[in-house]
Amino acid sequence: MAAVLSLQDVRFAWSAHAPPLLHVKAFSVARGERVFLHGASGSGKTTLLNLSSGVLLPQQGRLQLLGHELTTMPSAARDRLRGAEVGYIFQMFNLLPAFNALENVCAPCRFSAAKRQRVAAQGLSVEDAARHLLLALQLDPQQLATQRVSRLSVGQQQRVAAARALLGAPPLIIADEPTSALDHDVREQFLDLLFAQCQKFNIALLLVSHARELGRRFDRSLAWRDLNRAGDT
Amino acid sequence: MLLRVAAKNLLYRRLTTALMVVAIAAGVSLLFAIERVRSGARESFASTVAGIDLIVGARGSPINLLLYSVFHLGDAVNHISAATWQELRQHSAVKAAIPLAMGDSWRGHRVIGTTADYFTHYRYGDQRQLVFSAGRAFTGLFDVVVGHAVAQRLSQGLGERLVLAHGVSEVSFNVSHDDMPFTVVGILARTHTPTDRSLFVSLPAITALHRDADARTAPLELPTLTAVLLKLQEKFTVLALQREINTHRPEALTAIMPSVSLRQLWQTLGVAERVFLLLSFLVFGISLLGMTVALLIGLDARRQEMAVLRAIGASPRFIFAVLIVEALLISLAGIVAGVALSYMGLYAFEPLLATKLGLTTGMFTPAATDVWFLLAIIGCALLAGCVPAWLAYRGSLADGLTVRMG
Repeated sequence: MAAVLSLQDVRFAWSAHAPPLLHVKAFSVARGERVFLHGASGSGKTTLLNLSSGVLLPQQGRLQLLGHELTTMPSAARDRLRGAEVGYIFQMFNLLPAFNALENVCAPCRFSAAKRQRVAAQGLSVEDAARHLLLALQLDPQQLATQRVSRLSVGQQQRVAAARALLGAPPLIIADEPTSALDHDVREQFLDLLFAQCQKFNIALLLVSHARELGRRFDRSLAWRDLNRAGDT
Repeated sequence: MLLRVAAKNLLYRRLTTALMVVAIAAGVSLLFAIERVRSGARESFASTVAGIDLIVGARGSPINLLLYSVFHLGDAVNHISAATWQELRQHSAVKAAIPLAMGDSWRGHRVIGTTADYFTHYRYGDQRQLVFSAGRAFTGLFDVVVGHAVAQRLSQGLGERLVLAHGVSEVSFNVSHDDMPFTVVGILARTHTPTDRSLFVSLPAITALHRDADARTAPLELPTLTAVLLKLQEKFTVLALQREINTHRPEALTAIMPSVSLRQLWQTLGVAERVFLLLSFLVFGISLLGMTVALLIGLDARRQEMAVLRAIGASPRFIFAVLIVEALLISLAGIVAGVALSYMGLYAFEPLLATKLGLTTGMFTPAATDVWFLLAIIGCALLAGCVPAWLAYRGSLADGLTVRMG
């Protein structure tokens, strides 16, 4: 199965004099695969996600997103690639506060022609595709079109954020502690909906969390301490 | 997308945005109003007198002579005799010698004793002649011609009878010549010069006002004069005639070239003008600083927004541009509001400025320099916006997609 994301001997430190924060010998995510990475808060998991999406660059190693070598790519091209091929879900504070929910879902398509094209290939406008996704995630698009995002519950906000990450069917979705602010039932429901949509569009999911028990629901579950060898060197 | 994001952000923080716009508007309105009044004052000042080559008065300060003869401010310490005026009038180099005799007033407005030559030869602005909006020049002993601003204070206009008073104040505590009322026979059109705020009578009328009751049957002599305005046959004789007058033996005289003295006087007054301008620049600078501080304070709370924008494909340059466009929109709104506010203020105070100071010239006419002025303001606002924009740019590079709150 072709790798959507691939890291080989990647080392990262915040500065040349600082001790290495991250050293990943080999790590990859296949197309459509659901990978869970668990570890303690503040251990560097988010840095891995920043590297995986091309926002940060490692000092050493090879880092490929859909076959594109991010370490040699100009920063503007990396931004374009991330906008086109990656969807992102944060733990909380996920949404642009000045935009309503529907506008938030549509926002990535404003930055990416590739996402717009993929939406158009489904025979839908960006707004219609966003409404379909919101419905699939059990949200009322009519109501959300006029509602301020700050008035939504945390669970609703996470589903809006998921819809935004899924719109345009990017090959990879990165989720950084997306369920930490949700209670058990809402968390399970959120993951059900997210998995269903990922499966529908064959989207790979890389989800990091400190909650180890989530791992049973994924294709692959990894411990961050096993993946990151920075402390060993 | 850029404009949309910036506009949405500003609307979302509408209270902060409104306060920033108000601060900028206050600075701009003050700066713009002072600049308009300043240019209006400069134009009014420069256009007060034209077509007069020399002003002659008793020996004394040239600036003082200019102030009382042209701007009707203060009083002459010494006077010149009517004989000297006659002598100047008959000088071969002189085309017209216009006498001015001051000392009386009506409701704080100067009364000037002169001849009908004043209305023929006096020029203002770009060589514009005085025009009667109603009536005519004085011919009778108790005829009076009034300027535009004085006419505004009349209850009837032409034919109204006015009682003149000694001295110059709004309410005269001195002697009123109430036994000798003057009849308004002419009203001058607006000039935006001190002429608007003056009344004009004949020289014999000044004598008639001041002679004793028991001498009223005696023939009228010419009064002593405050100054004489000279219009020459040929411009090039001005320096020679000035020297000749300044060395005049029978009577100690001072002759000044109004254009030169006006320039000297403006240089003196210009200090205050520049201080006002400096103060208004400071106010505007503080407004910009307020905007920068408000944007900077907001940055920390907006890290989540930056992280989300980066996550959905925005580049650090886009984030820089969002902040710059926000600063631009705030400053544009502030400039529009400020200019509107300044025009409303000028419009509200225009009657007062025109009546008291004669300032209206050019105040409401946008000048080409205004465009540069406004562009400079926008440029300053953009520079002020660069500080938070640069920090946001750096922050978005360093923070990546990490949302740090608190």
